[in-house]
Amino acid sequence: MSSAGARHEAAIEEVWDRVRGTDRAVVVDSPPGAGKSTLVRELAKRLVAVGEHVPIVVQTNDQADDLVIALAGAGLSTGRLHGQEWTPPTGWPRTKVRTGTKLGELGGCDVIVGTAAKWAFVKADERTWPLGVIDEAYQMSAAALVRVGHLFDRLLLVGDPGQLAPFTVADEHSVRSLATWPLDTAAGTLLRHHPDTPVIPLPVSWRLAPHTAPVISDAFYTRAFTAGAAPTDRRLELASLAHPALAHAAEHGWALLELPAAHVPRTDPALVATLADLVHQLVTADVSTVDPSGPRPLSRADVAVGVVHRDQKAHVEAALQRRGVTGVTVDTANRLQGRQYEVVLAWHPLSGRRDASAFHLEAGRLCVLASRHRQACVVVSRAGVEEQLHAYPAAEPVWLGTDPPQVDGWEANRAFLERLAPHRITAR
Amino acid sequence: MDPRRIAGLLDAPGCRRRQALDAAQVDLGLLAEAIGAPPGGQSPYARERDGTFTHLATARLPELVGRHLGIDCEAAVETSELPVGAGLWVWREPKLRLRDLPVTPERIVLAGDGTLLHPVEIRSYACLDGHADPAKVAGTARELAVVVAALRQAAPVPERVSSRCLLVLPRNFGLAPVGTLLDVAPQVRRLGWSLDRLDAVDLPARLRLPDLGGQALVNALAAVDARFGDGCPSCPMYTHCRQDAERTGTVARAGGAAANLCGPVGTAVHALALAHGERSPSGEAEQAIADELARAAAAYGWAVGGSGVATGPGPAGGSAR
Amino acid sequence: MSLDVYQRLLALSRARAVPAASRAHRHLSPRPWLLTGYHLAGEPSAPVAIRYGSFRDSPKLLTVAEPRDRALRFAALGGLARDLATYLSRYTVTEPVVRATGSGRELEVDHCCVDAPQLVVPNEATAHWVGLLGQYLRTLDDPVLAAAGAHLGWIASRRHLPGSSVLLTATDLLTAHWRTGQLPTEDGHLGRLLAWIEPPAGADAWQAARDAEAMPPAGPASDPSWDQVVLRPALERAKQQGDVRRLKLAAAEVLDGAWRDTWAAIDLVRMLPPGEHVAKRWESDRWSWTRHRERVLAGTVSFSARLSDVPAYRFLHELETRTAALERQMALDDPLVMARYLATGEAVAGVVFKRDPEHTVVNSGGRSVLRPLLWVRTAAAFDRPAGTELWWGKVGMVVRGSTDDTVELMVTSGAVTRPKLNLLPDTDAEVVLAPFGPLQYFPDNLPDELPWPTRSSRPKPAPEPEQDDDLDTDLAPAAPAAAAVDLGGTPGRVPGPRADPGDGVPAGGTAAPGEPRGAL
Repeated sequence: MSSAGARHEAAIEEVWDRVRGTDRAVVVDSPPGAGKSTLVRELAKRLVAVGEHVPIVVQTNDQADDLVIALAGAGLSTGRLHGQEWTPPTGWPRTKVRTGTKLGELGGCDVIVGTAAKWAFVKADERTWPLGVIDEAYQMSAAALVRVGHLFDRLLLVGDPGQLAPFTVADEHSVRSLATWPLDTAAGTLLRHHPDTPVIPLPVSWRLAPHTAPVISDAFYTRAFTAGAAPTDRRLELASLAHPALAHAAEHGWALLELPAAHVPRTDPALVATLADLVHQLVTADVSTVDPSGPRPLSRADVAVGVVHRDQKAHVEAALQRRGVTGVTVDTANRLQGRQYEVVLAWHPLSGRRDASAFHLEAGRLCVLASRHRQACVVVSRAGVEEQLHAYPAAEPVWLGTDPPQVDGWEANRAFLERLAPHRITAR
Repeated sequence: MDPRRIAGLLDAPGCRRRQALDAAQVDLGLLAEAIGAPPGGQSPYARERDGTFTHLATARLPELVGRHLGIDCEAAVETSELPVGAGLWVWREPKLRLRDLPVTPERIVLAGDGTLLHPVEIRSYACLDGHADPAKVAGTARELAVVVAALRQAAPVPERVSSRCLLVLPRNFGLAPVGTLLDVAPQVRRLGWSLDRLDAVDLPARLRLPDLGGQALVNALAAVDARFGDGCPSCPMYTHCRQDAERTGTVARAGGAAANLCGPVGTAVHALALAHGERSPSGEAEQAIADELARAAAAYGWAVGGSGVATGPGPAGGSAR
Repeated sequence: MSLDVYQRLLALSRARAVPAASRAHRHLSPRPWLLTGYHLAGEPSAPVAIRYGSFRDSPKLLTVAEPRDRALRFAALGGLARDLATYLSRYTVTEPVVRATGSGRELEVDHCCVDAPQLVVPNEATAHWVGLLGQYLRTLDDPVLAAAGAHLGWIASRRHLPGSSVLLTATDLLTAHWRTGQLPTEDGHLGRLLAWIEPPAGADAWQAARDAEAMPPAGPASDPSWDQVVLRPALERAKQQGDVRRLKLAAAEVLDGAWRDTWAAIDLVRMLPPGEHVAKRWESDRWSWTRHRERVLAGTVSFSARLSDVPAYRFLHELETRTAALERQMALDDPLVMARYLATGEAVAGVVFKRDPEHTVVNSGGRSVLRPLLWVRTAAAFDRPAGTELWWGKVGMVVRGSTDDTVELMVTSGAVTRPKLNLLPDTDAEVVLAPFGPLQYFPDNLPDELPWPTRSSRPKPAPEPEQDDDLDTDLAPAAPAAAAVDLGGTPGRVPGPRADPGDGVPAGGTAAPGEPRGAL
């Protein structure tokens, strides 16, 4: 076994020991592609094997469906607790799975999966569990944890601290008038109230490539991680006439494709066209993705475009349609959370803006866009983002009694850009 | 310059005019007079309150420092250099530097635990139930960052100056001091970046003249580009720059959101001509702006045109519980 | 939002504000209580002058010759407290209301005040000060003052609730209904804002706004030079010679502008017809006032300035629910607000050119169900993806596809049974499809107490010594040394109706359990 594999296995065993131990709560920090889903599945299997029933709290219906499919595939009898509106997705397992809107309909299931919003309807006097598992515990807010916490005597929280922070439609100043911060992450609030809780970082990203993992780790994470793949394990084979940005990214993992500096509206047509051209080339040219399982042609499902706003998504999709390209994922950062592709083309959140804003500077947004790929990531942007960062006034309000964020959005943006400087390609 | 003035570098790092103003250390009193701005300053009542509270809080510092920093100390001791060891010190009128800029606060209070020195800052805005005006706290944090950075420059071992400061405020409606720890590490880092950039500010020769005042000062500053935006009302040049912006009809006069949406389109007249189809867009970027504004114009026209378009059969209220 | 930018650009080029709403979205009481005033710089509990009342032409004026003198302040605030009580006493009439309880199946008769008080202030800073004044008054050992503190506390607690009209600021009234061409932060200055909306004849907004800025500020913090040049001599004279005439004159002069401007803001919004949902939202304020009065009468009012524990989470839930409800209601009430969603492409306006009411699909249970189709011709391309949900009143639909000038929609709720097919829009009907469906109420699902993961297992650190709290600002500035000596003592310490850790909900602040949720 590789040393990365050994470190990963050691971390998994440590998690298992802790779960079987006496800690009231255990937090697992999982960087992008560190095997979080596998971990949850593996732990569920082991817990069921020792006779436990395992309730799992996830954050979205898509996550719940994916997890149920994986658990059923692993042979576990799984219950899907869902809302009235839910319909099973395609590929829904025919065996091993029960579904229901009430706990009572899921009798006999060893594992029960539901969203936090759905679990919040379960009453503690109906049933409680000795151990609950919360997946995506950094996407979940303290407000959601408050509504389900009483169901479980102990908790295992698993999540990626580099995700987008919980969001509210309410006015921030009004919420800040509270003596608590209900929009803290579930993992953050638990660690604040139970500082002795062990935090076990998964040390290896199996998704990110050897040359892209260190950049993500340095810019967005306080606990360092490395790539599990060796430099020779994977590569992208391109046709000789590939766009220089694709060629560079195939070799180095990264490319920062810069269009001439300009202040442009957020649906920047030149950026839309560039992204669509790159995608078109990727899916029409003869591109192969190679990894230890062997080479295979790059399919449309292997490519994603990450954008910041929904109107950007609409424009990129329309541009792809005009080029006759379908089947390529185009989505915003918050919808790409937890997903993975071979190649990702990312719209830099600050591209072409005159002024940065807190929304566009959020570390999680850039981190999600830049950490969905296995082979390569091309960040496309207008030049001048550095200027924009430097022009951003350091005037954020400071709320007395709160700690500065562990990862500051402005600094993460700057660090990321600095690390990408050697990969800068100027668009023709 | 006092720390507040240097902290101003973080207010508008994107505005060259503001950067020039600070890099040239222009006297703000002279400037206000030259551009005809209100003199500003502090209310006599605020000054009195400040003095009273500082006096009261100073007497209680050993207790607060003990509670929040775990440092056992007596009343503050006068010092004339960066102290070492454990204790509480007042350093009056220190002559510090940050890069080349003089930093001359009236006084710095420092609490040492033997290893680290923590700045202690007394301010007289209220802390109500543990909550203080976040904009004021942010301002204090930026000024403290200047002090921390200047002390680090003066210290033989810079890491010994901690960015964790003790902020002392009056509690609720009284004058009883209450302490809160405030970590200004992010502000210190940002300040470092801003100072790196300041070195690159290209000062017009005329601004380097000492005691430049009146119209000559205004002209020298006006020769440097300004960047009008949401943060401008707190800038000493505000009244001057906004008149400029009004004369030219720049979209930025209406705020950052307008400037961001309009991108390369500089004036409101131009943007509206695009919105109303009275001018054909030059290039793709303008086309995109024209599309977006035209959609807004159409929606606005629809709404004020008052066509009785139905949004549904009757009121859509009611509970769907 | 792009419409907001467009309106700002229009205003900028015309040098005059443009309307951002065609309905009044705040309830305006026929008899509001206005309050404008100043306090000593940095000392919210030391008022210098307050002008207040319900009558435009005969406001009360209160001045405090030595704001830091406890006795003088008491006397002045006592007058304010009594007048407030008189005003509030007009709002005690109740009417019986039948409403559902529990599961919604049983009915009961409750009593709700037919109207509620309304406080209008010039700006955000004054609204904030009202809260602080209330908090301060509640610390005082005087039943009249403490009662006024409780009422101001209730009023201030409604300030942050979207859709509440108990405490209005004139600046918010105006920015909710007009757009200017200046910086959004400059809109916080009432005089400037009014200059944009109604510049004096012959003046453009720029000049009018500059003129307004030269006037004394609207309070409650005064400007340093006014303090120095006008206030200080007037206060000195009042203090030393007992002559308050100059102070009264200065106060009247300086408060006059804000008083007039606040009424002017009300007048402007009164000219707009009220939005349809405004009365519904005011009903929620009336219930809150009713419950607050009940608590006052029962002596169970309690306040915690900053919510924690479960009430904090309940407050967030209420904020989110109200924010969404207010946005939706305003858009449905007012085409100029709906236009914002048309401009961003979230809503669609167009003409129905084809219908297929008989269209069916097979649902997951294998049954064939009615899912009518509609085709709408639009002026511009609708760029949201298939699957996007839109509503026409209670009729819900999803986008099936779109072209440059058409959208195809499938009705999924509200008109999917034969008896309800008549609720579909007719062919040739002009429609606006909104991104808002019927209002949904979600229970907050909160437990009675915080579960263990969100609560510390260790005891809280001991609070800082209590006696600190009551070191008042009575200290004469000339005698700081004497004051320092007094530190250990508790001069004039009086226990007020302070926070009760068991019940952190501000009286009537957030929906109390007894309040009907439907009254949002």
